[in-house]
Amino acid sequence: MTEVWQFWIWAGGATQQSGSCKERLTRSFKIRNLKPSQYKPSLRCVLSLSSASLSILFNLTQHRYTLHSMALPNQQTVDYPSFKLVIVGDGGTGKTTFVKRHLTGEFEKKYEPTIGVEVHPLDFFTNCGKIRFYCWDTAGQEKFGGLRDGYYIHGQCAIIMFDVTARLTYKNVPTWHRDLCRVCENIPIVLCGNKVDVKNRQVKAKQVTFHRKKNLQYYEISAKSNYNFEKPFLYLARKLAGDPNLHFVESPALAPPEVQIDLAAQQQHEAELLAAASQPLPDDDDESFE
Amino acid sequence: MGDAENALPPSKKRAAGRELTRDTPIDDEEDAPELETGTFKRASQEVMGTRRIVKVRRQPTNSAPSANPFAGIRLVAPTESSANPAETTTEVKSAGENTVADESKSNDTAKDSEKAGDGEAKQPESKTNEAEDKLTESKDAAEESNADKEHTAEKESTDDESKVDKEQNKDVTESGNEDKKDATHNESASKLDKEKTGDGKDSENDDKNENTNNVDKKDSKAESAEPSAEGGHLKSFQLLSSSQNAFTGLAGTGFSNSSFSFGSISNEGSGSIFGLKSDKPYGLGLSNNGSSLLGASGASAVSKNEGSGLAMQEVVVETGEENEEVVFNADSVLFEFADGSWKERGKGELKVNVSSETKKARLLMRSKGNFRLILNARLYPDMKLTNMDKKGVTFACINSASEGKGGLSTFALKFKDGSIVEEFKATVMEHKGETSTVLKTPENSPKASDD
Repeated sequence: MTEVWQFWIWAGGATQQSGSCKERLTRSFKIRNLKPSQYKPSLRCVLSLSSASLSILFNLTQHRYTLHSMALPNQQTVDYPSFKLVIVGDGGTGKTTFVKRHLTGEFEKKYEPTIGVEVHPLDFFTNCGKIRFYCWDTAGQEKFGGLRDGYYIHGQCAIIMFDVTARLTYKNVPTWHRDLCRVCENIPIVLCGNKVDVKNRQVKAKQVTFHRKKNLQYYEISAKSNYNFEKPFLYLARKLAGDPNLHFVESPALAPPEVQIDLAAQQQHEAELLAAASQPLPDDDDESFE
Repeated sequence: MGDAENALPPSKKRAAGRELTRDTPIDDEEDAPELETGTFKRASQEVMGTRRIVKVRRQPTNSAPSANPFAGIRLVAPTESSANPAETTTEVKSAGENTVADESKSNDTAKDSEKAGDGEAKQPESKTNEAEDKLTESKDAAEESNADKEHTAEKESTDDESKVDKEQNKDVTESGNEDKKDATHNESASKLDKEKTGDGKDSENDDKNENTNNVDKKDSKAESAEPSAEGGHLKSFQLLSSSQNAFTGLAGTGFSNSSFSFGSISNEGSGSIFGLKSDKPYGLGLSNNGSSLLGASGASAVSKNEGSGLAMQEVVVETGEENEEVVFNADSVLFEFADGSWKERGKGELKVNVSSETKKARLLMRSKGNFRLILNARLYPDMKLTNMDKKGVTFACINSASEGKGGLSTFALKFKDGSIVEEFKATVMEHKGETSTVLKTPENSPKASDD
């Protein structure tokens, strides 16, 4: 009979309970002799290990870290505060469109599911200086989930998004919240009901009550019409800074350089102007100016 | 309620109210029944006298050291232990109860909660005693059924022992009170739901009302302790070092300073082997020495915000438009022609600014809401404006706001109506300058012969 010794191991924070960790290990690597000795909902697992499976477990944790570091962007460090923001929610609720709207200003109509996670740095100028949110735009569809809750590790704030035109996406909010809170215990979270510009709305404002039970901030937003689209970031910035009076300010506009155009560039550009003139501007409703 | 439970024979198990599956998670508490309210009867002195306080001693099983295959591994103990369990419970309770405050919450409310948070949570003695009685009764029932399993038992009836028991039972009483508070909170929320008639635009106001109601109810009760859910905050954004980012301390990445090691558990109520406390402030991973989140010893830049409303230092905001005069401004939508189609770049206020010193003009536009700079382009004499779709106008310029591109790009502006388009065109024509831009001949082009 092999002797069993108990060790504390850092399980990458991706799974909270040792039971679920064991299930994942068993499912992936067919290890049968890992038994959870107790359940603790925190960032590590207690596992009882036989001497035979210890080396395998070390390989597993190493493998997990390899995967995790692959998911990290090759971002350079900045000399102003930066926060890891995790954006979760069902597939098709508008997470990527929302981030892209902030990043480039464009509204992407075409739906391409996010695979795993995409990380985008998003800078804001506030009355207390510049801040950066590293937006971890996670996959909503289960088949593209990747590391799933592994992406939540060291999240400092979060946005849970649902679609007000699809009831099921709101029904799944508690699941997203539970998974998030298992990894990130005490972080500010904003619940966002997206697509409020759509006339045929399924989830009415009165029906959204989850945020009251869980002490979340709720905003109705529209990535299409830009309604309230900055509010989630403003709320999170205020919470993280501990300043309820913090607000976004105009980003500094340095004097632009003098225009110097060569002949070749001008000719090329005139051709582009002709092509552009032949295409009409995207026809949005006149809500843009209201 | 307690008597009814004790009336049942100890061998019978209570059936589960509902089955927990993946489809019915624990979090769904919408149809949870409210707790019954009532008082527990205190046992008479005779009954109290007959009760025994039993202390169980278990002998630890020691295995032979020679059989240990991991004798070479040295276990590292955590550096500090956390506070006693009773305090931890109190902190968690209060964090759960505080509703999310609206951004425009008044300072008075904040001050009240600060004052309330100074003292420790004190439970009324009667409640504690009642809970103690109930717990002792259930203990007796369990002891009778499990008498053969216990190894040793001692009979002690000193006052010191009962004091210790009271302290341990505080947790139970507190959790009971927490449930009652939650029930009250849910009632107020449901009342608000009935009163609401709006279509959702004023959801923030509803939240504000709800918070106010909760604060009033808490003040009217005799519960004195409410440690604030938010812990300390950042003193200033400027305090943070240049090495700090969102990934500091992430194990297995290039950003981590701490090495992976085993650690032993601290038995003094700490929830984490890394010595972290459970009531972290929101400025979680920010430390001015770049230390890992896993490390317990790193001095954090997060400090307690005691009494003061503002925890951060404001900085002077410079827009870069200080010496400029705005000659035109209007709301518009900016588009850029890229990859064969028009892509929206943002909605906001477009301005034509003229420098008071150099008299040179530029186009300036910031996105509404987040004030991000989306257009910053110098007007030049050869600039051509072409009407498009009645309300739109296209032009070419070098936009220094877009980081990637350095050359000319084609932009379009869409205004609310056609009259604004004409006004914009007139302003640009007036301020773009007279002299033609010097056109550079490309170096690789053939030179003109002097013949």
